[in-house]
Amino acid sequence: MAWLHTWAGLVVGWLLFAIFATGSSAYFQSEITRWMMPEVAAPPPDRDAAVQNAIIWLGRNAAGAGDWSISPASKRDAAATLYWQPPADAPAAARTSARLDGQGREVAARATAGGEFLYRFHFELHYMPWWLGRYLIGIAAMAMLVAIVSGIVTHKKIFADFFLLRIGKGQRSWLDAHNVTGVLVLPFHLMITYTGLVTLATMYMPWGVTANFTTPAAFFEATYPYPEPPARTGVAAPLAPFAPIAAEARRIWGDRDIGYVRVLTPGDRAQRIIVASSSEDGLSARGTQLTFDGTTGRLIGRSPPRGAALETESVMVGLHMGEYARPVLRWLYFLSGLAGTAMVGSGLVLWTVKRRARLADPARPHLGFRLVETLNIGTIAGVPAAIATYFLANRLLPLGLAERGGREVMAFFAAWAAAMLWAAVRPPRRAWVELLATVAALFALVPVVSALTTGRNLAASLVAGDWVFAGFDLVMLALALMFGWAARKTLHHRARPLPGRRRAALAEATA
Amino acid sequence: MIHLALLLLALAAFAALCLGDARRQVDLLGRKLAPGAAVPLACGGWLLLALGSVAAIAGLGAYGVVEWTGFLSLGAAAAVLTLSWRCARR
Repeated sequence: MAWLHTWAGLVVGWLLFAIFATGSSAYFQSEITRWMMPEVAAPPPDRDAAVQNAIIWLGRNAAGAGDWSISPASKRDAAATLYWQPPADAPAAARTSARLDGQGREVAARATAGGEFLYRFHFELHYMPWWLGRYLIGIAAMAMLVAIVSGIVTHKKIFADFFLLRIGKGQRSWLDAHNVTGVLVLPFHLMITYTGLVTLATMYMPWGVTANFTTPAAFFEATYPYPEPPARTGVAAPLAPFAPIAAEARRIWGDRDIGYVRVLTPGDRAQRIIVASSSEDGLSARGTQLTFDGTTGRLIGRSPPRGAALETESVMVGLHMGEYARPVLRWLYFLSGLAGTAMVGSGLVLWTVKRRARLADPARPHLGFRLVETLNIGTIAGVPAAIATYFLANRLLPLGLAERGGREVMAFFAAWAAAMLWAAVRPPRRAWVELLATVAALFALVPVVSALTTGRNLAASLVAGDWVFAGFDLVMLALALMFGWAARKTLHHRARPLPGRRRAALAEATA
Repeated sequence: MIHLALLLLALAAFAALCLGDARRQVDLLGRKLAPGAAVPLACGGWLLLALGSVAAIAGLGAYGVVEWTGFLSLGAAAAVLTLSWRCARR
């Protein structure tokens, strides 16, 4: 079983490290987006008013659209997001989205890929078709599940060594770190890997769908209804006021607030308003929908109740995404994600530490060893460097730059590629120290550059009680300290050969 | 308030479980406890864990189960870090 754990973990380890790192950040996706749009002031206070403002704005700016979609700012977003389908005769380059602030004014913020890029990368990757990315992620997640289960089986002394973390003991310490980050956060690791696969289960295992439905679209229509706009009657009619509709929806749901709102065929007598319940108010991620007559405001339909299987799936997806999590639990999610990242990283390092001792000539390792070591350095230091560079690019790229969001993403991959290249050409020990120190410097620079370019420094954010900005800066500084400490440790590390007897015992324990 | 209670229960539970292991007593305290202390400490640790789950469900419902699991990891991590810090200083 040990070989299964070793190889299932190693082959996809670098990808898993990137998935865990960016996926952990996604628990603060809204906060990251707020930080990346520093022009946006405080979020709208009232959801109903936000929707009503959006309807007014869309009536002026997207009157002929077939479908309006409104995401009122959630508890954590800075602005409401609007999407619409332009009419068929609109030019191809017509706008299809906007962001509104609490007063219903359009937000004039810098263009950014935001927290959403990191979130999307963790399950779709980038620079490739989305379906290919999702398949690759699925393979990695499946290997992760295999690695976790085989790791539990392999780890013979899971209870005896439960509290054991020995520092400064070479290979032993790496094994302890791998065990501790794996075992202590095991409920999270199992949950996140399994539910991650569940979120895309119908894509990875489509046979249940193909056996029962003529097309995948028919399956999605039956399980997650997304009605098409009704045919236009040609008779104009004003839209019913939103507040009574919201009140009716809340009365029906009881414990849930309003999530997104759709208006179908707005401005026409046939118009409909669809209100979905928020995914922030319960474990189950998929809300229920109510359909109202858009002209009279009467309730005319509701989504069918979900069966046990769909409800289970919905709760699993909810557990994975953690949209329901309030601040304390959100931080626990984030810290667990970081522990997962550390588990994958320490596992990758352990592979090389363990084999270095057995190399015929440690100064000239064989190609396979050199490849793993380069990929390790280039990923474990490269991904954090990429994330820090992504944030720096948000502050440093000219505001008027065309395709600005795309350039931020390019900065992310350029930094990662540079780290990989550096790892390939420098001696491993030097590469570790230099890159870890660079990562520390990059993270430390983020709050500094942000303060210089936006005028919002950490002290001012703390005084103002702006916890999104203060929290972001503090996390950056904490990461800088952590990587700085790691760089220092690597710099002062002296490889001490173990006595033969202890080496044999250790080889047995880590086999 | 319930969050703080869950955190403290998890910390206390893993401290007790840790001290209930004779090999860790020296690491943590610098001396061995009386031979009869290990079993009550370990039992107390498990009891505190159970108490935490009850408090989580009573205070937060199904949501509490998820949060309690998170605090378990945090409590155990705190115990491990304290232990390795004490060992490194010795």
